[in-house]
Amino acid sequence: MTDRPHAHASPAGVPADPGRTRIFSVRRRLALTLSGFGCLALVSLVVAPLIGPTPIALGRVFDSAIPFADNVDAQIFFIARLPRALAGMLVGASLAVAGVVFQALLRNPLATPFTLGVSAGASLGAMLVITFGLPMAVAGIPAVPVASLIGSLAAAGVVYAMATLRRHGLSTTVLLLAGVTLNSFFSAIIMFVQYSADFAKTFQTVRWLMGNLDVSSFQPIVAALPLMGTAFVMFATLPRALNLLTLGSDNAAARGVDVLRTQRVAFLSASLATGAAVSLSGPIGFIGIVIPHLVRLLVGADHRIVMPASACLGAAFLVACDVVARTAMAPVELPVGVITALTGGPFFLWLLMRRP
Amino acid sequence: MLQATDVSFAYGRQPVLHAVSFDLAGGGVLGILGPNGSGKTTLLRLLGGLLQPQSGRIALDDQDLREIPHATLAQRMAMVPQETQLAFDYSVLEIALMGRYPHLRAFEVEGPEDVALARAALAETGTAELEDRSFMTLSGGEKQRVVIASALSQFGRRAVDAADTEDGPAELLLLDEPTASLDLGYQLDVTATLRRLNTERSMSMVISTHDLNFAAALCDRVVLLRQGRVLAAGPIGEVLRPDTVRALYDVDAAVERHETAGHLTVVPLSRRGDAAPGRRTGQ
Amino acid sequence: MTLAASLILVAGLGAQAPQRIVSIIPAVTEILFAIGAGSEVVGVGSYDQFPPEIADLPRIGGLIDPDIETIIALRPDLVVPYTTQVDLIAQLGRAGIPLFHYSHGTLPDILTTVRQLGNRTGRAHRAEEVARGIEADLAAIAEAVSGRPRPRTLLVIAREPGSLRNVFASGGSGFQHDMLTLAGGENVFDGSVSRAAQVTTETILQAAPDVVLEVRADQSLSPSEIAREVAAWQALPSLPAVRNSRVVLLTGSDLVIPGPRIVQGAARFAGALHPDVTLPTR
Repeated sequence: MTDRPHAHASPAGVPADPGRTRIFSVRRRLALTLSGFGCLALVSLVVAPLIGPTPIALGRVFDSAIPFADNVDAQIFFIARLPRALAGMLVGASLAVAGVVFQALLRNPLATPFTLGVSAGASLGAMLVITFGLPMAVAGIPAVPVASLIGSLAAAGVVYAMATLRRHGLSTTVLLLAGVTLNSFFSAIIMFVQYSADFAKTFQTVRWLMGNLDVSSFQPIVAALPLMGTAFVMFATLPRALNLLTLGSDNAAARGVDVLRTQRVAFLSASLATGAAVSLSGPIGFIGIVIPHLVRLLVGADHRIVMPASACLGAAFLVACDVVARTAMAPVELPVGVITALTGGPFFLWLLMRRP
Repeated sequence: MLQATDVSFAYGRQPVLHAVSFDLAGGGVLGILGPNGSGKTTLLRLLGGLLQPQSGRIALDDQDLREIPHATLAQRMAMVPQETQLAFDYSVLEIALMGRYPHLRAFEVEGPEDVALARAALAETGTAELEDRSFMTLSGGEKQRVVIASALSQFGRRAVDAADTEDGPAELLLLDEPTASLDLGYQLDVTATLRRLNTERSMSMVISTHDLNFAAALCDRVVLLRQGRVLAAGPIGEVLRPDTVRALYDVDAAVERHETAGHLTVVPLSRRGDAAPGRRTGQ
Repeated sequence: MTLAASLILVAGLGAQAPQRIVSIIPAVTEILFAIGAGSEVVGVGSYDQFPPEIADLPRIGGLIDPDIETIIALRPDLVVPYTTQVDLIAQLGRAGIPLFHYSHGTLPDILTTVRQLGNRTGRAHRAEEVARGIEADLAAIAEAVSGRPRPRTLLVIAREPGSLRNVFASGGSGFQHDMLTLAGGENVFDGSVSRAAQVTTETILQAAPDVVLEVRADQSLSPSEIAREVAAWQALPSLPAVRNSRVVLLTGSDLVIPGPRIVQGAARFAGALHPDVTLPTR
């Protein structure tokens, strides 16, 4: 093959592009994608509260003539179903975007929101409260979410400190190794404490680890919202820099990206979103890895589109899974983490098999 | 335009570069030659502002690199690493558009002008037809040229920005082993692309390489680096000699001008100390 | 003494009565001591707390982590494992150690277990007395609450501390359900849920229990902590139980261990469901 810089002949197998003036607009792609995925999320939020084992009459739900205390239909809608759907949206969106960010930060398609020990820290916190009944309730927020949030942020802090301690800058290799090590370390502590705790408490911890969205009021959502909001504001500053980071940190830095700052913001925001999500629902697996990959398959890898699309699809997916969790075997509830893994696992394998 | 003065650098306690100095005039192509491990890549990363020297100074148009903001520097200087591995797949046009990063404000999206500039950069490297292809499916030579296009689009100037500066700033391209992993055909493609950029756009370049023939084809000046020290520096015709090649690689070589190619060629003959030419032993 | 009881007594005397018993499950330990076989117990489970006499006995692990070495070292001639401890049972079987298979069941099953253990330990007579005592006490409780309205009750056996999350409730079977029924309550999940299961907020709202009865084994909860846990139900203000302040949290191992103290537990259930009833005391 010789160099033909001015010849516009096509390489073998690639048809010449006749539409040389084809319009390439990120803004248009973003609008298209967002309207699609956004509708999906919106539909899930509207439809999910209408589905459940108990038939409810919408007329009664919104009938202001019946006092709320006597209106079981309204209670089921506003206490049992709507908060669940909202919690599902927030958790699904947070975990999906955190997955995207961790994958870009670590340049590793197998990274999940739980890779760097954030969920293990949260689980340790929750387990300690469940086992020893530590009085950690703050301002009306129950002890378990408070402890799991503290645990997740502590884990993130340790991992971050280790990745920055010995170097000028942030080593993603150390980040990954420290996170994986911390995961096993915390899991070992969890198993050790469980081993010496009584059976009922061990069982409760195990159940917490499976994830659950039955928040039974808006209060836990309101408590998690500021943290998730902060994380999403930080997310909004990241997409273009993350695009460049996937080319490698040298390429990114050479194109003017402040690599260290981007890595810091990415790590902190994704850890915060993960910590808040886990404290709201327990660790719900698979969303953080399946959704980002599915979205990339559908819309490409541009983070300006992948991140909002993942947020919408993650929200819709988790809300849908939760509908299954609470209706499939009603009145008994299935762990929602089981549903996400049961549907997400085979789907992900199918994805892997069909990709070249 | 680019000036390194007594630059020293160490990774931790491991010294890599000792008091390296050289000059690059505008429009020149400077080769940094040396064996593996001589500090070429480190020097290039220092020049690109990715590392800070422990002592000494690197200046672009008499301005210390450390004083130039990231985005401003990236508009004047672009860098092409030896190899670009993507964590996720992008289209060729998207890769080229990433070069527009230093020109965009926060939350700004590339406009039609940026797309046109990115396409022009692809055309300059002969990869315009590939714009819809996924980067990961490209051959090594295509990838290298697309990444060069992405770097070139850092220099592209929109009409609205062009008013800010009169002449347009210096355009300096740093390339780390641009042909190291390419076969002969792709090496020629990349060499021709770079030569044309130098002659037609008078783009300045610093190219690190251990391929002496590639350097001879492209560079007007070279710096020979051995174990982090400058062994020799100057015009390629003066510096590239059998004795410097021997000092650099422990190899006896014939250095002759090739009439058809129009530049010096280096033919390795034997490992130093070997009796028989062409026979190479382990040490 | 009835004929049947006499036969049991004779049969019990006929067998070789064990001298060194290892009991792994709290309920079994309590039954053994209640029927007078406590002096033969040489090892108990790690979670066993009652009766106080077991304080100095060697501990041999629990349901999921029985310590086979310690058990064999105690040279038992009878071990009572739980039926799900299949590995332990196989190992003990290979060691030739006699076993008594035990598993939790219904309220009547407790009486059966008392009598069977009596036979096996050569204390059939005393066991029969204990079983009849339990039967009589339970009957007295049932009698005291008979004819009264039976409040529809949600029996909660576990949930996350401080919030109404991961609520596990008793379904329509098992000894706790039987205790509830005997104590004059009607399980809201009778017929719809078998055994214990996690239930959703929606299910609880729909069930609309008149009484919420929570049981915890953990006796360390302070009155203020109990008050705080009860207050968590304010999240569902519309439940009749919440509106009428009929959420009760009881603590104590007598509520969760299907042994002889189940009488106490049933009486406490009755007291919670029917606070105005005078219960027979013994």
